[in-house]
Amino acid sequence: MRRISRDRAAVRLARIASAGITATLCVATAGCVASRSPLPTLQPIAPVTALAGASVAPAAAPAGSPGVTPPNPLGPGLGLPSPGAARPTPIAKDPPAMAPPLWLTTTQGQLFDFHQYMGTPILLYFGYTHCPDVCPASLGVLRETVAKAGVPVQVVFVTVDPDRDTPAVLQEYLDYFGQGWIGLTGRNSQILQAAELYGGSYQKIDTGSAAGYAVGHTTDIYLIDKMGMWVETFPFGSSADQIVPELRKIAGQ
Amino acid sequence: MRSTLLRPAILATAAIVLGAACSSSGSSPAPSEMGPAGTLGPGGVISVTDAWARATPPGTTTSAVYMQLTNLTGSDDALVSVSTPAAGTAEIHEVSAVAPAPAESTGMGGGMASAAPAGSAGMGGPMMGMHPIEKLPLPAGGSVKLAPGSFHIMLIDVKDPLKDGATIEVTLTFEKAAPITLTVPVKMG
Repeated sequence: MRRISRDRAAVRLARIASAGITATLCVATAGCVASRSPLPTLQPIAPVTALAGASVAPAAAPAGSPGVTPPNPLGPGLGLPSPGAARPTPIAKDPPAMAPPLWLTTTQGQLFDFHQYMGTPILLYFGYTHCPDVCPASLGVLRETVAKAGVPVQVVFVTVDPDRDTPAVLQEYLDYFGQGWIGLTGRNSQILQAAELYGGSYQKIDTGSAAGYAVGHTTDIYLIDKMGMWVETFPFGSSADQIVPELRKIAGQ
Repeated sequence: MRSTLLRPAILATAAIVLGAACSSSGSSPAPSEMGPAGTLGPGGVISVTDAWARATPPGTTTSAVYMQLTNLTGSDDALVSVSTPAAGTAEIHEVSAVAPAPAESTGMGGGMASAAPAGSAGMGGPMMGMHPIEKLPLPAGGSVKLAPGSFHIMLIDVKDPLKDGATIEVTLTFEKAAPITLTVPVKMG
């Protein structure tokens, strides 16, 4: 019986390994009696639809049905991601439109002006520094994009949490990801207006987390060409390898 | 950490042995249960792969830990809590779409303007927000991936900056299976 158990478990793990997952850590028990700490309080924040398996990049929700994602037949978070799982499809702005203005200030206290960056493509993202998951993942993609692109590009990050992201905090955070990245801030009303002009939004949410409030926000990366035209939107889960060719294309225009 | 590759067969053997050990001291009355991975004790076994923690950018004291959890037993289990000496608090979080709500109902104040009118987006994805969950179900024979934009373990009040290349200890506590303490590598991510 034990041999059968081993064999079956081995097959199971072999399948996992063959699915592209490298087994790097295994079980190590400290005894069989669980010593549990108090459970975090769950406070539902709003009707939500889990982005189950968002790591395997579901397609962007169709316009008009925000929050609706295809159900995962395996349940939330289940299923082994296959190597080379589909990435979300970039959304071309057709026709390209003049990039909506960002009436916001830089961390140096100057009003941001797109005209100063004519001639350089811009990658624009809205996020906040207390976000440990989605934002650094997106900024990591931007960092990789800049490194691989081989063409000049300006990253602009707009905070959606101006209360906690002081100019100093914001710039220190951005300097970690890349040189010369611009951080923009302002009043919430100004920032929300800017986000909405790009089809985005954000709002504070009280989650009951020990970390304090979170900020729900749209997570798209906007590509603005060197003439100041908004040409493409990359949904969360897009890779640097998807953005780089588009960047090079417009850099050569 | 990727250098410490363990062959699946070894993993399986370790898992079975630990599972058998737990069955003798478990408090569940059911002696055993036939599942996809064979006969295992009520303690059950969970395998953890590809664990990593995100390095903290300067000025920040939150981070996230990711991994793949596989329930090798024939009975459902759940990750119920996480602890680490590297942080004051660790919570199990889920990232999900956030339905726009009027500012008045958030109770947060702060001069927040109203949410975007429906249909104003026209393109792009929904708002995404994270929130703690009571537990992370691990169905029998199932595998759950904690990954950016999905489930993650959120570290709050990180005591010392997490530097790329360092490691932290993380203890996972389950509903049924015995706790697991891992050494998790820190990556820039």
